[in-house]
Amino acid sequence: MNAVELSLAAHRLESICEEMGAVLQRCALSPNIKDRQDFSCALFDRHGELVAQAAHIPVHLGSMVYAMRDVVGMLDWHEGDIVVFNDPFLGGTHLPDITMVMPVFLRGACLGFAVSRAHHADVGGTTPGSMGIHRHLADEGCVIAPTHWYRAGEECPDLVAMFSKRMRSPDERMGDLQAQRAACALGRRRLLEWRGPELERVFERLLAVSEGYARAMLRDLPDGRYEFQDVLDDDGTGHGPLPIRASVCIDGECATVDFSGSAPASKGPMNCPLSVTAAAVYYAFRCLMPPHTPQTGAIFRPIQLRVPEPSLLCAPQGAAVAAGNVETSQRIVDVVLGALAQAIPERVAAAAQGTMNNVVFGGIDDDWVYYETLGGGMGAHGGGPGPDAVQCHMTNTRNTSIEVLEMHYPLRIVRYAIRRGSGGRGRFRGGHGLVREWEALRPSMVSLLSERRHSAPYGLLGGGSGRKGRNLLFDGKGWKELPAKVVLRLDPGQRIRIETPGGGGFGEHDGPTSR
Amino acid sequence: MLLGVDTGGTFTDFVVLERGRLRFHKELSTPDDPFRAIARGIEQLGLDANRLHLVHGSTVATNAILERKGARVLFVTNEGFEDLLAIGRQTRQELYALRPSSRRHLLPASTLGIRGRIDARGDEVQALDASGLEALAARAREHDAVAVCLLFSFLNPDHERRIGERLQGETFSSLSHEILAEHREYERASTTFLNAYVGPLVRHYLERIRDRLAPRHFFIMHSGGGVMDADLAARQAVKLVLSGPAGGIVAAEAVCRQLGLEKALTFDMGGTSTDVSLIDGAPARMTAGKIADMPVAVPMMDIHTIGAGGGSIAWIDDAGLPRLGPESAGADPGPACYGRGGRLPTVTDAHVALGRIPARIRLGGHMPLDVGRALEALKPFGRSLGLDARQAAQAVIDLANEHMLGALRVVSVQKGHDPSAFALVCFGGAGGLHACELAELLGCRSIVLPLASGAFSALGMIVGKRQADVSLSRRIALGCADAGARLQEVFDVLKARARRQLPGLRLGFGMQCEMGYVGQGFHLTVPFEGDVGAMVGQFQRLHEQHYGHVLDREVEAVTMRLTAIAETPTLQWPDLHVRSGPPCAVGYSDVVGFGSVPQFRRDHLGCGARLDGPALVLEDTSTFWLRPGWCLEVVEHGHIVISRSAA
Repeated sequence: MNAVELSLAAHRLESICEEMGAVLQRCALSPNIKDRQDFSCALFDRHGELVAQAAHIPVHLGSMVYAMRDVVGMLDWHEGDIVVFNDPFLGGTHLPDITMVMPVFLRGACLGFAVSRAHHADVGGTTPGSMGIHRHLADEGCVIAPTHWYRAGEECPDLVAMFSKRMRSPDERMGDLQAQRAACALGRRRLLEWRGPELERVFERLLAVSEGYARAMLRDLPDGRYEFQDVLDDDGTGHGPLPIRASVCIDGECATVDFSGSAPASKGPMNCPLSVTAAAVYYAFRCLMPPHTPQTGAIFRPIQLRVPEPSLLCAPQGAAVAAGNVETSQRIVDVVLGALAQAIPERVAAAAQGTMNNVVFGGIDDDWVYYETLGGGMGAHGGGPGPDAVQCHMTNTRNTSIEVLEMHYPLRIVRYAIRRGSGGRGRFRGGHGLVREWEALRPSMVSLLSERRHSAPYGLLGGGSGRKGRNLLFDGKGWKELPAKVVLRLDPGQRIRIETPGGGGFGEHDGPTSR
Repeated sequence: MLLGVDTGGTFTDFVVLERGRLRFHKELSTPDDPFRAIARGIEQLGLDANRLHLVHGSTVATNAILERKGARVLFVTNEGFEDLLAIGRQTRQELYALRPSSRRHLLPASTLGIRGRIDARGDEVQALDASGLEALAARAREHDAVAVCLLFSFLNPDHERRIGERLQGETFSSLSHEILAEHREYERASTTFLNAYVGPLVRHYLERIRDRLAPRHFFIMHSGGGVMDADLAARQAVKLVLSGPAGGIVAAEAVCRQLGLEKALTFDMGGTSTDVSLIDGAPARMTAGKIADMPVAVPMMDIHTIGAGGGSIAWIDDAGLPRLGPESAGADPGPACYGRGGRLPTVTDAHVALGRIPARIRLGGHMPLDVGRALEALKPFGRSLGLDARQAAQAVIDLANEHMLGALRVVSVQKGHDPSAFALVCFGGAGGLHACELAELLGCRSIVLPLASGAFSALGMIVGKRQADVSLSRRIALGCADAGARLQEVFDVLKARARRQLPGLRLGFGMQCEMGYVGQGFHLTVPFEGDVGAMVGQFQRLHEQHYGHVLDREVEAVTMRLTAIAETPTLQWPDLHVRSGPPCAVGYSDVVGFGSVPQFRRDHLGCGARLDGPALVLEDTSTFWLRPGWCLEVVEHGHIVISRSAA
């Protein structure tokens, strides 16, 4: 197979993943998947190596690389199998992300796997939305080790029984699972229809070639050791700050990222399984690769990780991990980029908001769950200001339309605005955060998991920090400041207001800051 | 006398239908004042402007947005939501960019929040702040236009209406429930804002044409593929924003109807981009259009555009893989074979190197082509791949075909259609060189090269029918006993609205519901014929067909759409003058891999003429590469139909 055939094949594999994503999005039931697009679709070779993925959510790219490594050898795969899992210590990330795997058999031999991953609005657990503050994984929701939904074409009743017994709104969960199945089935069909060079060889060559993108990128970076440290506010159970330290060593075409000196495992849900830590590191380096880089597992081969075990960034079995994926991962990006800024300040940006501002509402008297994350300021860079009020780094989910939200849930949005003045000052200013305010119309539980409420997003080369975020409660009498992470009850008429952090500024401020 | 005028970036095309005879004409466009080219063309054609039934396709609205030359707009919304347009969907364009391109969103000059709130049931929960109306009117006077979008105005337009009444006579204003009565505030706000942004300019432009030409009738082609009265177009200018490619598809639909083809894929490959779409009885339409990264949620042709065309540049990436585009050589310097300083290999260079565009012809009738320069440009590209210049040319064509194939699959296979049941309708400059190969890859059995494909959009203007698209969002659970009555009520409202837009005409109505399972955000479109049970059944079948499963869950209708089309007699196409005698080659080319291949001129081929591949068919601005295994025939009306040779 020559380079032209390989280029054509890579293009086609990518379109298959995009088509899978379009199907998953269209037939999903929950707003989180269909509207916010919190999902990813991918293809793996028969060894469990990622060979193609549609670009949807960055945190899924790096972690998907790990999805099949342990799982592929665990099971005896058959035509007609569908396997489902969310165990963060066995291919998963945090419990709401449910991964579905469908093997693809051609003439009796396993060719590879079609895989979809989607963030489900609820997976059981003590708090609606499964994004609460707990100390143990088991309290965060159902832990699903790789389990057959279908075995050789036959539906296994156990999985469905567990869904209907343990999860809130189980029919919505099953609807979303059906959507994931439709996406995998499409990926499988497209691989079976494949015309062109033999897929086994396409996968091999693509993996071999795609490593070259990473090597070319690393070759371009000045050799040396670059260190940086930042903190997470707290772990949700009153302990903090939690330091994260990275030492990035660039040596020719290889990089090593060493997290020695980072915090030990946390009591609360800030822990990351290794797959999530890796995803954040990979994201930082992926930003330095060209836009057309194929999304394979091999583009990360030249990047070595050293993570103390067990620790915050390599969680021990059974630790709570709900926020690792959505909060800690953002700080890991800040730290890795902070280290790289010493080598290539003009190619990276100041810190972005550094949080996803997770908000989950759930009914107390009735059965509903609503989840969203909020954008904030991006960091300024050598070429201009940071954009305002957008999702940064590890996520890129869309907001939910206010009208759609109010038609489906007993909530009213009172305010949704750019938080002016929150971007860090500098030659170029950081992006502004945003403000969103909800009013409960019926008794509800709300969980907030947020960061950068105590430490501010850093500026670069003399640029100022972005403003810290704030969480506020209107209890009917007046406004009160809430902690960064909290679960509380809202009665009708009470309100929550979240002000998200601004991004850091770039360069010393002299004269008026650019707008 | 019917005149279609399509203003494009380079040319303004004219098609006249007079006493059963079609005439074509081209003028160079005059972008600083598009009217000049129109006036000159009418003069050149010797037409009496006062007697004209003029149908115009214009890029005035589109260009105003792309060049940011629209009105100073005051955007009015609920207090607390003034940044609705600035925040958008809260996502970033590029996933992996630490230094995102700093191009700013198109935004209104100012925004104003007004107190007052309607809830999700359409009930008022906070009264409109009447005292704020005076301040609003004062601010409005400082702007060229006002756009008003309040939450839930599609359920209860009372507050928007009262603001509109206060603004009457003050300035150009757009109210969201009039522009797009559908749920999702950002998409509705963006559409309403763009209407205000381009409205004053479009109104001025159309008034000028009317004043200077005084045509008897004056119509404008809109994004939905129909034509609308020019006065209405001035008020609903956002409907013109995505009308550019509509003319070509309307013309393709008319050609297919003439040829008795139900199903077709349209393929319009230009210099820098390619548009494809699907016709299954009628052209596929959608409401998820975008311009300058902003949603325009009015019905438009469902066109998939990719950034690859004849001028796309081939290059080698960091890992040694060959790539095509999105960089394009454009018109200047153009492909290397133009000899105007281009050094990078393009798709056009690859065709020239392989002999598929004969070097002796002059592209566009003006420009000699340089095979040597094409080969020179391909050499370094080929060297990195271990290929000689001619193999490299084949590689570039394979890459281009892969892009085109991907685009054609998006509109067909990905929407559940089997492309082998479709004919490929090919227009635009570069498509003819790829059509046979693409048809082979897709399994299509025939290709259509319509008459006058060079002025195809203008042809669409004269076959387009008067059409109004209206819609309204209402959640109606279809399990309820009164669902049928409630749907009928909504469609009655929509019919009345459409009649106001098309007064005094006999109308045919197409009614559709967007339906989904309760809570599901994406919807399938199902025709409404009065029977709710049948609709739910149809929805379940479609869901099964598209996604492979159905759910045991209540089904609801979310948005109702009605298309009203004026019943007019279909256009009688004149027949082509019939030439006699067998086709006669005008020359021969060496096509790499195919030996000496005869060339024919299309304008020498009479009705009934037949050719077998390999052959090249030349027109002024394009070449058709007829591969072996394909057989060409000129059919009545002058269209060319190409089908697989009998084995």
